[in-house]
Amino acid sequence: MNAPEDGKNIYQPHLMEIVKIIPETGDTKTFHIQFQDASLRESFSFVAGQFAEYSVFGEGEATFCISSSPTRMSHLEFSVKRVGRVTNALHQLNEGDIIGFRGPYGNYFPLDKLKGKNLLFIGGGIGLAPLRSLIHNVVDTRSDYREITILYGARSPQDLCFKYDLETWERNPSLKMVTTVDAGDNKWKGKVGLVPMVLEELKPSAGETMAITCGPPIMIRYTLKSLEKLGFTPSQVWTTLEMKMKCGLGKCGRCNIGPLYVCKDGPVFSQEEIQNFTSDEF
Amino acid sequence: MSEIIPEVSKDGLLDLGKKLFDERRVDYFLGYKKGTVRFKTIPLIARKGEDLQELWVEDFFHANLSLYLKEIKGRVGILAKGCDSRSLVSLIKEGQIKREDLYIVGIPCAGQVDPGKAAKAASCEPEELEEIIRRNQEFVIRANGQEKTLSKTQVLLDKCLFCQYPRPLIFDSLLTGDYVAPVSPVARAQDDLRQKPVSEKWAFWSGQFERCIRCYACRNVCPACFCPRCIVEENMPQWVSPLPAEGDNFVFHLMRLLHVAGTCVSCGECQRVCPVEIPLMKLNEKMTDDLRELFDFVAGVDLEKALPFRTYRQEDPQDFIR
Amino acid sequence: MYRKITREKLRKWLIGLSARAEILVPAKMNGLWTFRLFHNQELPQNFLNSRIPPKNLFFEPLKGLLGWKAADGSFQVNSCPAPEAARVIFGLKPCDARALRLLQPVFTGDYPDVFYAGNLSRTLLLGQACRVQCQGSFCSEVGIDRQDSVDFDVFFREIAGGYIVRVITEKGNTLTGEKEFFEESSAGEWNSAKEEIRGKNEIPLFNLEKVKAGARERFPDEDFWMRVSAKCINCGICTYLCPTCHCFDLCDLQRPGQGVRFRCFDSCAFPDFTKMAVHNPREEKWRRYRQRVSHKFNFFYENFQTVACVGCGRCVAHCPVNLDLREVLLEMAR
Repeated sequence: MNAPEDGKNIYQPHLMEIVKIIPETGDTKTFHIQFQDASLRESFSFVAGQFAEYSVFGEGEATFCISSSPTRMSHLEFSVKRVGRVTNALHQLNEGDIIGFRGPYGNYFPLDKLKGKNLLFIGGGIGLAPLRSLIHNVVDTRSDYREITILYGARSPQDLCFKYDLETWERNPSLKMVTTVDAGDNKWKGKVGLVPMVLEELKPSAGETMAITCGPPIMIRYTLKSLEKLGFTPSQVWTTLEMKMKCGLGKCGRCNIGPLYVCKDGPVFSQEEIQNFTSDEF
Repeated sequence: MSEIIPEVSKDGLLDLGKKLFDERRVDYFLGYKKGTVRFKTIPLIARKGEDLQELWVEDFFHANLSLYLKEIKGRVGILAKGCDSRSLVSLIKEGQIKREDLYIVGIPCAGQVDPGKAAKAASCEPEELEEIIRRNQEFVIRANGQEKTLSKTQVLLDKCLFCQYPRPLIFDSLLTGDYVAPVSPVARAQDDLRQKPVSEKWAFWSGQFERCIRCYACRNVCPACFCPRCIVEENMPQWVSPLPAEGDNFVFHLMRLLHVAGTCVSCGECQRVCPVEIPLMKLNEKMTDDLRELFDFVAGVDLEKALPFRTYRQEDPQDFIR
Repeated sequence: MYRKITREKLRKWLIGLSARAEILVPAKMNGLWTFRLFHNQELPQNFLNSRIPPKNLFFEPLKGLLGWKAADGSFQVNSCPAPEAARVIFGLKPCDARALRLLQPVFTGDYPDVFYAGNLSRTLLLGQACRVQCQGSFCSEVGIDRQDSVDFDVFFREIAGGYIVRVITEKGNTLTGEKEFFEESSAGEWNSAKEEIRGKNEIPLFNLEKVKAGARERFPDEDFWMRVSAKCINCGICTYLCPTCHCFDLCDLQRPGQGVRFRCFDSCAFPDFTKMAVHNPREEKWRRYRQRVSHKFNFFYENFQTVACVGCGRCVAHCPVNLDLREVLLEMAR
């Protein structure tokens, strides 16, 4: 899969054009990007869960997962919350602007282990981005999986990302979609409650189910506890971890949790693996 | 009014420290312990009386312990040489620490050894120095199995030759000993560079800063560099890039210099710890002279006089402020 | 294979090589030993190890990786060329050469870095045996032989008037095969050129196996790490003078219409090193110090089956607060 060619500069990004920008929330945007090099549009491949390094030339690089699905390769998507220098610069860009792209890097969701199982997706806020890649993927290969449940929460209705996806998934009879917010407003008709609490209300059966979760660290922590209460074993729970990265190639020395490098050994880990980490530094 | 100086003997120091902990007058006690590398001692950060067992105040106590007051909050007992006490004065003035939170034990200092300078005077490599022994008014240097006798001026740090404050300016007790300058203080000769044309100064500092590896030891060891977040780490906007290139190195050092103006007491720690031996004190001394000449200000010598950066006067000769 | 050469002939040999390659030799600059361009001068005797490790000649503190240009609506990115020009470095020490080998799997394993790989392959490594134990060093404790090494192309031992050399690689063999400079020598002569190291640790400071085991056992011991790191001032000296530390940052420099992306050193001692928007997994100083020691003696060993420390002593000798790695290792080995 896109192995580096001999003698190539591993730090050199491919140029990609921003073909569409979708504002998700007040501080989050989704970018649709397309390789400038036509041959790369054909040859590029990745697996859901992988990430890339995105450049705004002159400002630097930042790490984001690829939030579109490998089954929908007309373009790639990634979503960015405005928090720092590079993310700010990305938010200033317009359709037609050029950015740099290095990737795909890291491991991916274990499709082989998910096949034939019930899937339970639990996402919070912008944490839906990596799950979204996998959700689209399994929706497009629906017959490989049994029941699919998606639980997604955000702080408020304004903080829900990918509303267009949420609507499509709600209309899809082969999916069970539950959206919740921590605090609603007068227009909000959906559930109100924190993700772990709603999860416990939903009482998904742990048998033959794989849970995949991503969201703010605090949400993940309580979600894991709730999953345990519901009878999920650590090998049934998968998540992606976020660490500061610069190279994405296992060299720059930032993203390690003990001997593991999140950029190469992750970002996808099972709860079982996480429990066995030597270090709690993540 | 006669002054009563509470003196404490070397043996008594340990008891004093323990007593301070026992009476809950301090949460920490900052001292020195024997070093593991020649001509160095280790800063001792005691958290309880027993930790003081390793206290060692014989020689080579270069470190200006007030640097740890940036990090250690609470009531602190601290050993201070005369020159270090200026940092304490400075930090109190800057509102960084409260005088009542400190228990200062002044320590006599017969001048601190500069191993690099001693090696040069003994015509050997610093690494070849085996021993530096004080003997009466001189030093005996052993290197490569040979002994040489050197004068204080050949061995001591330059700052010690100009020592104006052998006795701490503020203290709660004093370790017994002689509080006299190691040599009768001479006026610091003006830096040769001062008279040179700007182009030469530029060339000199370009050569020096080119070596800078941006380890930030000069900043981190500096008691006057107490900003919780340094502008160097700021990246929105980025004022200085982290690239160890001449331009950014220049900006870093000059910016730091200006930031510590009025707080820097020329303790010389920045130069002493620099791993690539950039003569940073040349800059500090120039700044010190300017502050004295232009603002009639000497940092860290009194608790009252207003800091130049915080002073506004109607009669300011320059009109930019009016 | 062993050969020998006189001091003067070595100088002439290097002069000859300088027509084909850049030659770097030990020289003292601003009071510090370093490696400088050879100007046909006498080679220094009894030089000490360089303050800045020669790692910097392979993994540079500041390296342009790529550049971009925007003009007339077009945007182009170009890779900086991988280094190719032949180079000879004379006077490298066994510790520093081992460090270059240790970094090889990091830089030339998965996702090979053409810049590091290029620097290694373009350089003829000429090592020289140590005669003194450097301040703060513990090289033999981590398995470095100060008088012998196979991490070079050719390894030199000084003898009266010249050197006995051990030829290690084919490249070294070809270049020292020129009869007008080198004479054949023997294992016997090589062995008799072995010298006592001045000031060496008579008794090993610690047992490396115990250190490695201790590094794993001590990892969760927060009190230990807090205690040993208390005096650390978070500067980058230990990492920037370290021949094996290799953490880096990527930084852009933008000028009107063009720019360059650089790789520059970064340090795990710096509080911002792992800082993210919402949290910092190594916010506390003791975690950062633990990371540095554990990376070398625990994680690197786990990933590459060797510790990432060559015992050069630079971090020990130059720590502003005398935070002595040897003491920490000793305590871990207990």
